[in-house]
Amino acid sequence: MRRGSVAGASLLRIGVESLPAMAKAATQTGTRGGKLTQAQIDARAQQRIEDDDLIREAQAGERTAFDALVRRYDQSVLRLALHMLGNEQDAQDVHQEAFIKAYRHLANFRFECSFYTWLYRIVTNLCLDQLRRRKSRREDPATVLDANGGEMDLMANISDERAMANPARELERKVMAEQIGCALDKLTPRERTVFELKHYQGLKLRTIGEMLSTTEETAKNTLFRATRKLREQLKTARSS
Amino acid sequence: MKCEIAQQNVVMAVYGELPDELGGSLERHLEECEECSRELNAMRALDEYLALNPVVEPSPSLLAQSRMRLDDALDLIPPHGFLTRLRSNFYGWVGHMQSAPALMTLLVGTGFLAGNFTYRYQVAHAPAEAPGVVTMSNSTQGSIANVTGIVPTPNSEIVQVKYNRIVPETMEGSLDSKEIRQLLMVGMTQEANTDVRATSVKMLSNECRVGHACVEETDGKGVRNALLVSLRYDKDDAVRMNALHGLEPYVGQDRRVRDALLEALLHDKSASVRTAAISLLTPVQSDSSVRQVLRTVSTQDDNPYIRTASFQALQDTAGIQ
Ligand SMILES: [Zn+2]
Repeated sequence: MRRGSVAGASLLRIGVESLPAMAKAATQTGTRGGKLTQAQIDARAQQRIEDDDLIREAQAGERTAFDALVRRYDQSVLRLALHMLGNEQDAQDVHQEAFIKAYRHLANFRFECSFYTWLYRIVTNLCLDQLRRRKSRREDPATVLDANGGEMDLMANISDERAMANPARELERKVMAEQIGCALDKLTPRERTVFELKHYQGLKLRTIGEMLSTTEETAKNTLFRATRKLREQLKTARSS
Repeated sequence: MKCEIAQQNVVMAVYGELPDELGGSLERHLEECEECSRELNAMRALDEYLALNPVVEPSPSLLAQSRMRLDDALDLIPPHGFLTRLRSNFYGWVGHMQSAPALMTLLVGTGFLAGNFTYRYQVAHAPAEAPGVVTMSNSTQGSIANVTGIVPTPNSEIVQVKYNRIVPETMEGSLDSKEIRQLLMVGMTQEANTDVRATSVKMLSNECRVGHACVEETDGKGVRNALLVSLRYDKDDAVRMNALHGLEPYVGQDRRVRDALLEALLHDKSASVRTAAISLLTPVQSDSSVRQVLRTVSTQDDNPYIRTASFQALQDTAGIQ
């Protein structure tokens, strides 16, 4: 027998109603991989045509064409790497390495997928490597060492009234962000990557599977696992 | 629907990956299963919480710095060592277009952007001189970009927090000043903002037309090179048109400019850009490449007016040959 059936019922209603609402929000912000509008589809097709022209020129040895490709995509490459690695230096390294790889291997580009997908595959693999290297270097990424070598407890900072005092609303947000970063760090590199590409970059699971040389089904399971882990990690944070 | 599957489907629905045909049965399941609707709520809460750590755009200086680093690295790679040469006929006759790296046009401003603070200090403390003098807005306001370090004092409430601000700035100065030009050249590559691109290109084009130091710079960093890049790659017809006009004074003397114009005449989507290219090229028909392109265009262009104009231009050439 269920307790509090009235509350339960309203909870269900919220739940059910929120499904289309979330889907709608997803298409509006365009980050959650909802359905694309016709205009977006057209824009992508146009972009693809332009990209392909640039690639052909670059393959013919035109450095300016390659530079134009770099300019089209390097901000998103940097954004992705920055968010995944949380560190400007590493993001910059990935940015450089990715485009050099793309440049060197451009002759192998066969126009089977979009340049964007191809490039992102290179970028995510570099980020994955970097995350793996870090994982093996750092035993416990959740604890941050302070200047004196002691462990800084991020949670304590949040509940500490003093830390919230002016001018620290921004700081508070930053600390939360850092906490989320720690939760993300607890994921395996692969889970992290799938989650990043889906949640933050809004890519299709099919594309993600393609980028990580795996199936859509595996990507889906990995995403599911990642959300479960994150919720577990952040449960304490949310209730505090 | 089993709960295990329903819960997976909730996650997929949140991420817009649930096929439409499964949506209905998931909704029905959620209506009667408390545990799974809790799953949905948990996902919503996670979503909300993760929004506290949004994806932010890389700062302009990081982007510029990264571009500069990348460009240097690319310069070290021999240009033709690894690529199969697949030159089309077009490139065959255009010959070796040694265009300078487009990125550099964007990056000339970088050192200056990166060294912003020092620079501002220097400006503030340097004696004013015309016309290079620029004034910058006071920029102590701005949202916090990131916290870079926290140093607590042992056994005390004092804490030192190091952070960076995102600082919006304004610069005012003569079009002849190096700094303003650098900013305009950055503006020319502002993919998302057509207005800024159009205005930047227009202003620099005018500078070139009135002969204000638009000299060719061998490192490919100059205004002329930036205009070449805009003419080739800008998506906006009006911007390409303006770039074209800015290049007019150099059609006779700079072969790269001529090549870019020929390319525009052959391939530009806009009929007015192609038409303008014909009139700019007409004085240099003695160049055999120009004649060849005019000949091609006079028979192949979609636009009858342009075919006629090319033919006309070729007729005038007869005397030269
Ligand atoms: Zn259920």
